[in-house]
Amino acid sequence: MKKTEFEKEISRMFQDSRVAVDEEKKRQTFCLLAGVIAEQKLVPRMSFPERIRTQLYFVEWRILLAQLLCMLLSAAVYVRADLPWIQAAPYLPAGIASVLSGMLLVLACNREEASGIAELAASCYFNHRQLAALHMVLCGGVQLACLAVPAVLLGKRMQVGAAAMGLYLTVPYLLTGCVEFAVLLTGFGRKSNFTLLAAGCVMAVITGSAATQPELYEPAALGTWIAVFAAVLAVYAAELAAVLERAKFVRMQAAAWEQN
Amino acid sequence: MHELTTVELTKKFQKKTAVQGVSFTLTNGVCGLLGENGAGKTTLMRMLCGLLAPDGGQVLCDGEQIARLGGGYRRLLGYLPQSFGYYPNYSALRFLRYMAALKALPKTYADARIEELLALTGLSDDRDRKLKTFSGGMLRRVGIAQALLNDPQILILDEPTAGLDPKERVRFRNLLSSLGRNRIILLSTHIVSDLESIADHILMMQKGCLTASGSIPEILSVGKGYVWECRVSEREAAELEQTHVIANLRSQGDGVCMRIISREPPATGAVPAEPALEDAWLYVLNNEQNEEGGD
Ligand SMILES: Nc1ncnc2c1ncn2[C@@H]1O[C@H](COP(=O)(O)OP(=O)(O)O)[C@@H](O)[C@H]1O
Ligand SMILES: [Mg+2]
Repeated sequence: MKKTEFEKEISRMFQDSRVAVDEEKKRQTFCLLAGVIAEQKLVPRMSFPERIRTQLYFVEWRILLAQLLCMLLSAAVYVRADLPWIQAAPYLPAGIASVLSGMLLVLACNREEASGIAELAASCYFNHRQLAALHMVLCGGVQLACLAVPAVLLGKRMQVGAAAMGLYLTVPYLLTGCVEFAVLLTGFGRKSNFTLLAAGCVMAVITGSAATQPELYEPAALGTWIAVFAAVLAVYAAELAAVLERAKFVRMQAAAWEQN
Repeated sequence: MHELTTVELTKKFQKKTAVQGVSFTLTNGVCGLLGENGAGKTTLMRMLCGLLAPDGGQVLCDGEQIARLGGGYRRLLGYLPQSFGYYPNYSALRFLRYMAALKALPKTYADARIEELLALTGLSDDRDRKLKTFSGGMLRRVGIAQALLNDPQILILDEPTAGLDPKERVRFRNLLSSLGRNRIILLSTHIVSDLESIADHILMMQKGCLTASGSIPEILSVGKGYVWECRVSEREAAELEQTHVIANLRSQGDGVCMRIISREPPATGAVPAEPALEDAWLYVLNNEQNEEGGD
């Protein structure tokens, strides 16, 4: 935009070149030129890998730590124990681990939501939503890697294929996310993480009792698993979009209200 | 050099009109936006930053609508909101790094710039302290530092001096003058003395409308002939206070020295005085109210 304005200015000057150079125009052009130089040089741009690297700096380490702990515990159970209750309900530890992971992701993004930084961020080059989304993608990636460990161990033990194993773990993960996002969106859990934790516990109990039903994990039930997975994924995506959308503006308007 | 223009800018919240048909052009230099609480300063600034969509009118940067410029415009922009959210558990350094990431500044550039700004705002020694332990004035300085991270060509500061103690105010003025004149700086305030020595241009806003605008001499000439000084007894002073706009008042011996804004001489023996910015502001404020009373 700047450039076309600049070009127009130059062509206008050349049209007049049969007369002596107009001092005022010369000054104006100089100013424009200085502006173009300033714009290109003073504020360097950020490359994509750099964007990711910068974002790593802001990951909530406590949440990732909790994630790692969760993974280690569930993996340890499968590596070591031949405890009778694991024989009875082999899917229980992995199911709980994925519920907790689903909750941790929402806790990580509640940080973005709760602190009313949106107004400040909205005036910056990236908007808050983009950064929050990037953060969630990164955290989600780490979580998937973490969940893969118990999944592989459990898959070996139960002689279950990778796809089925993936379903068994992602469904509770996504379902928990749905419930947690719903809590966020209705406004209960906005100020404190307590409601989110409570909802996570409820989900853990539900998943835990479901995981003790061996018939749920028969090959015959796979069709149901796929259907549930598709439905939950759709709800999850819709809720995630709503949460990110809201992170942008409503909070800011609310802040304006509170002040006056 | 950039040029920021508003054309008949209007914003309504439900029935209430917060900003009404505001038009002005800003070029390089410091511009002060003066208005009482609720005058619409914050709303106007949010529209200038592209945070709120106007209900009418346009904001143009170099003749182009800012909504169309998008990221290119935000790159030029530094903004300090009236009150900003922050992560209480972040240190000052970490917060500034976060803002640098939002502003898409590469790490090496950002780190050098953050050092510079921490020193400039006098926060170098507090860089590792958590923001929740900061005083209001320190938070304000962190806010100013983040606004300057990308060396903005357009700097918009909403009540930057609110909550600063006198020493910090002086520091803030020095900081503004050290930023130089080769950028657009718009700062809002309801305190006239904040602007006296630093603003090149003043916009006065009342109830959403722009009521006066101009360079300081131009603004001062508005109040010319309406400022009086007189020395009266305490009883007379009490009467004058009921009927006139008092700019200043101090007791002297057994009488009172008064500075009064009025069209006619307020008392016998009143002498005309040179208007200061404060007087012009009182005059404009009062003029508006009188006209309204007459309706
Ligand atoms: N988000 C909002 N919703 C409704 N009314 C608002 C909102 N923001 C501001 N207002 C109203 O607009 C008017 C101007 O407010 P504001 O721009 O904050 O003034 P100032 O910054 O000059 O104190 C006020 O009367 C305020 O109540
Ligand atoms: Mg305000």
